[in-house]
Amino acid sequence: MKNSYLYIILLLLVSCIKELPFPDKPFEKGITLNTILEVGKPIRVHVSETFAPSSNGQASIIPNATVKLFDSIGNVLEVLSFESQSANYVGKTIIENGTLYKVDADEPTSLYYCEGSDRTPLKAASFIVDTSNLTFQGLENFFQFDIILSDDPNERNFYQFYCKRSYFEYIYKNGVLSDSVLLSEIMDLKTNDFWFVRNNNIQYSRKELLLVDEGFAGQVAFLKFGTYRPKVKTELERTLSITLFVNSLSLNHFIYSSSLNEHIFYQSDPFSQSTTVFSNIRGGFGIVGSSHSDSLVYEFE
Amino acid sequence: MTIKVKHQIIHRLFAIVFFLFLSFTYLNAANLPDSIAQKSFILHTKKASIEKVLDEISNQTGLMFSYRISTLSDFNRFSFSKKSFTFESFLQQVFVSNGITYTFIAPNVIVLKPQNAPSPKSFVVSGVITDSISGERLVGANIFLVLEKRGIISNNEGFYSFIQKSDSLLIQVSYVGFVTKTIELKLGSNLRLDITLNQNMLLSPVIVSNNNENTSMNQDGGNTITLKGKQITEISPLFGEADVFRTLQLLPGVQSVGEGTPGLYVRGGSPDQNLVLLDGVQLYNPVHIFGFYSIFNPGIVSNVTLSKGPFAAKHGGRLSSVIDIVTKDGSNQKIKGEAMLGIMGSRLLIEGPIGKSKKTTFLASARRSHIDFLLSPFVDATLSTQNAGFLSAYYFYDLNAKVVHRFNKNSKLILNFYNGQDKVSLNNTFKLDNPQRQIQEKDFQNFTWGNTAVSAKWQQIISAKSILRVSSWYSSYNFGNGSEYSFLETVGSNTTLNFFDYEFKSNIQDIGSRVDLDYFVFKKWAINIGAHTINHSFQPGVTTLTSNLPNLEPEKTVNKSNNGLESAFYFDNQFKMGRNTVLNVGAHFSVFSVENTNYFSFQPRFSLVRYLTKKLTLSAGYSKMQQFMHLLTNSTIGIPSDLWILSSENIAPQTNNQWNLSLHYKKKSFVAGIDAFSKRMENVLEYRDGANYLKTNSNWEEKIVSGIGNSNGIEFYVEKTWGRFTGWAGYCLSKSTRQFEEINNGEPFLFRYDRRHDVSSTASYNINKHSVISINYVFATGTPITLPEQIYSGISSTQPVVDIYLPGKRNDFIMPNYHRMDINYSHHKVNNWGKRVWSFGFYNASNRQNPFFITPAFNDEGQRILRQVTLFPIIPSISYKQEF
Repeated sequence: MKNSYLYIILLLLVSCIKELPFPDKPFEKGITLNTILEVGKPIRVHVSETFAPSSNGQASIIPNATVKLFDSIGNVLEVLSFESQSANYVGKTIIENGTLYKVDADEPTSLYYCEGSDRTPLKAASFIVDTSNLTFQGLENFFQFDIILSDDPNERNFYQFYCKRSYFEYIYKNGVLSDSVLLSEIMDLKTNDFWFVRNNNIQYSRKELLLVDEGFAGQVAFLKFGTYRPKVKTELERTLSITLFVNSLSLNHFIYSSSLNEHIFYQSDPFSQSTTVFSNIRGGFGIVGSSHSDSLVYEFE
Repeated sequence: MTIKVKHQIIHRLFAIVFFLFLSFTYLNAANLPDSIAQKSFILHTKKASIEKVLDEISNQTGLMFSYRISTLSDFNRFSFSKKSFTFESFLQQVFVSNGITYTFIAPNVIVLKPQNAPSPKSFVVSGVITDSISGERLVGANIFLVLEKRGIISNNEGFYSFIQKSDSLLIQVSYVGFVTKTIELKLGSNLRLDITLNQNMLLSPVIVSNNNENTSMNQDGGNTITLKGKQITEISPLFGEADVFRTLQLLPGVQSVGEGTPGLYVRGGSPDQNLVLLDGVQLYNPVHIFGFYSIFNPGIVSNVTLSKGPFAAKHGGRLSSVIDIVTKDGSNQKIKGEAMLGIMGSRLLIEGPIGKSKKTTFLASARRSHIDFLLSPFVDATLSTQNAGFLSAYYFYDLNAKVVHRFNKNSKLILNFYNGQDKVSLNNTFKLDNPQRQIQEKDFQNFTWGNTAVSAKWQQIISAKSILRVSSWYSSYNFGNGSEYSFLETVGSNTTLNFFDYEFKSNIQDIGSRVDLDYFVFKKWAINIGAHTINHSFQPGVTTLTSNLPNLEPEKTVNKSNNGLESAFYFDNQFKMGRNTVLNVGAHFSVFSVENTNYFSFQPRFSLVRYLTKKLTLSAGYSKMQQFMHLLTNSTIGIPSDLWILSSENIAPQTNNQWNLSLHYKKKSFVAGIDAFSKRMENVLEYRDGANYLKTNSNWEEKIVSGIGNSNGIEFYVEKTWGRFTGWAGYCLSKSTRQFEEINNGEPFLFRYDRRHDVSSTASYNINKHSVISINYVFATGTPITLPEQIYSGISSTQPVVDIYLPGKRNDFIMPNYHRMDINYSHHKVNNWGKRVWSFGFYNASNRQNPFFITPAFNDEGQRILRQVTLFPIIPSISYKQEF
């Protein structure tokens, strides 16, 4: 009986949906440069071309560009080499905190040239006070993180929090366990914390919390947020760990992430106007952003 | 002097003007044929006034008396004990002996006046027009002065008044669905002439009464249209339920927000620019089910007047239109009612007199939707499992009540009440019951929103030349949502209960008063004058959190409320210049005070009507309007949580300068017209591209930009108003744009609901005395939307692949055209209870897949496409209405 209802509803819905082709309008292609400079790690840059919605394609990688990394006074630190496996331009220079970097990409065949720069953030002191605080019980247990941020009073700080779960997925053949695969997923975050709730940026994404330190700059901030705790062990999977990432972002990276979340959020609302994603690339699209990452792991036995 | 003191002085001055005005209006306040002479009647009264005695005689004999109140002011009260009189003896004993003469005017009027009273050179004729069966006052009835070849229309109280220069009067009184009455008589003095009309036994034709169809002093070109309640119930039902706004969408220059939704875009204005009045009370978000139905129960509507501009000076506060909905007064003859059962909902209406005097009437109605009964079992059964239950409910209801008390022929008090709510609830439960562990978990979510309106209005016909209305009202719009979570766990002998309650409430409240006086100075000059003051109180939100969880402290967060005081004074002069020209000059002055800011506004109103021939009329008009409140929404369909905000120090009021030019032709039952309009709106608001991400709790003022809007168009309109086949067709060619410095590189772009071509028509054919079939057809050019022009790759820590759409020019893609045809058949029959009506119909009978929205998506093959979603394919409807 239940299926009958579903069929009726689906039938009604299907009869009301129609596919239309994207209008094929001529446009001038552009270059996209994306990189997040992570303090303590070598640089990785993704360079690609824009494409038409009607083309049914994906962004095509530009493998023959010259991509360079500059220091704050314009000296070339390194010319990056293209790594075909990851389709990224990679370098060996380790990114330092509090430093201004510039990245440019030059592809003479298509007359593409673009550049962007960003200053890496200072690290924020953060540590987890209590990782095992269960606040809700029932169908979905709530796993709460209590964070203390010791905020630098001399800098305007921007933060990103997200949470990754690592788990084994069991594969059965004929009802018998035959194999297991190690997987990971980004978990939804939820909070009623004052500092987060008053921040407009959290409304556009469940996967990450973005926070600006207006209101507690230079002070110690206590933050509470959490995720629905997964079932640690079932017949189908076993959770190994939850990793909390606490990242200090540069201003460019923060605005980019905020506008990107908003853009994705409104893509699912057919009645809203499209929003524009922030870019600091001159001559193209994309972002040169930076972050200083810290992660904390809670392992399940 | 501080700003605050200035603010107080301004409002005191306004209050003084208001009450002085109120006080001023208070201060203003023998040839008998033998057959008549020998007509007898019996009087049985105790200390009755002379007016009451004359009323009693009129009731017994059908003869009417016409007199000035001052003529009879010296009479004492009369007591008669079943005393029999003839007319002649009564008039001699009571009047002639007291120095009052009488004149008989055929067919049934006796005019009383003092002996030697000078005969006036002209006569004022006034009265009210009512339904002979229900006693309901007929609004918008036509009174055509045959000898002078001009016409007037009864006002919202059914009252009419005109000055007659000769003593020969010949008038024709007509109203949709009623038999036209012709009255011919000789005038000896000013005349109070109340007229009753009999309902036409045939089915009422479906027509639009356009105020321009008569050569009337009241007209304002072809821009004001009145729909009668009966027409609304017969047009365009969706799921069997007619709708006021959906019917208005069939008029030229009025467009819908989207498929099936009743939001109105009038001549390129947005829905928040429509002033929606229910018996004079201003309402916000007057829609049910996220906008699919308006909140007005069609069963109680007496008439709806839509004004698209130029606007009367009495209206202000909105830019694009005035939608004035007047409900029925209730029958003064007998208790009666009607019940309607449809797919969408049911409604019940009861009306009638209270007490034997029949001076007081009431009307009460209730309407409730059936969505929860029809859909919830499907949804709930689908989403429930063995241990987890799911219960959902969605319904709306409306309650209307109206009491009218008539103190006498000239004075009445009207009390009105409206309450309507939408309620959505979702209830998840989980239950685990085993010997070691028992769990009961509940998660209840609810959303409610709705309007409440209460008003009191006193109406006094001061003299044949003037009518006064004084009213006060309260109106509120509330939105709230709540969440209740509880978890009860028993393990062995230990029981744990955790709960978490969350509640959010926001509301808008208006408290207002107004006074209006219509004064007919002399034959060529009429004036409407009045004032109003409204206190707007906006509470954006109160959040309450309670829980027994250790790390969730109970808290209550109250967002800063906003108050604005809007006061206005207006006057409208109507001059008749020569035989063929009517000039209307007026102005609306308003002051809006919010926090420490005062906005003063002078809004001139002007219209000129020239009768080129007896059938052809040319009119032109200009009006300036100002709006002090704005609806903030990023969505193009109205949702109940959309935020209304007041103008502030940084956000100036919206203004509109509108010009109109109209040409209208009328011949018997045929009307045609052309209306051209041009409007320029300033300080219209839009969300800016990219909000301010760096500030917490950033002010809404930082999220918006203000700009200008232009709308120009021409409307064509033809109508057949009488006969078995009736109907109208309209076509509007228009272009509406917006321009903001920070959007679309500062270039103008098409307004989201610009529809270049818009055709709408409705036709009705009376097959026989019992059956009528009606067809509506609507065609409209697709609305513009913004589509991505390019796509590029994004980068994110939490998203695997991110496509970033680079929007093209704002609103540069036109959606497919909109076509719709509705067919409805009604069968009327009188049974033992009264009249019953069966209605059957199809909404979108051709099953056209009209776009509700279009959005980029992927198809099953992974190709990028545009997905067009249609909301309503062909929708059958059936309803049953029984009058009793």
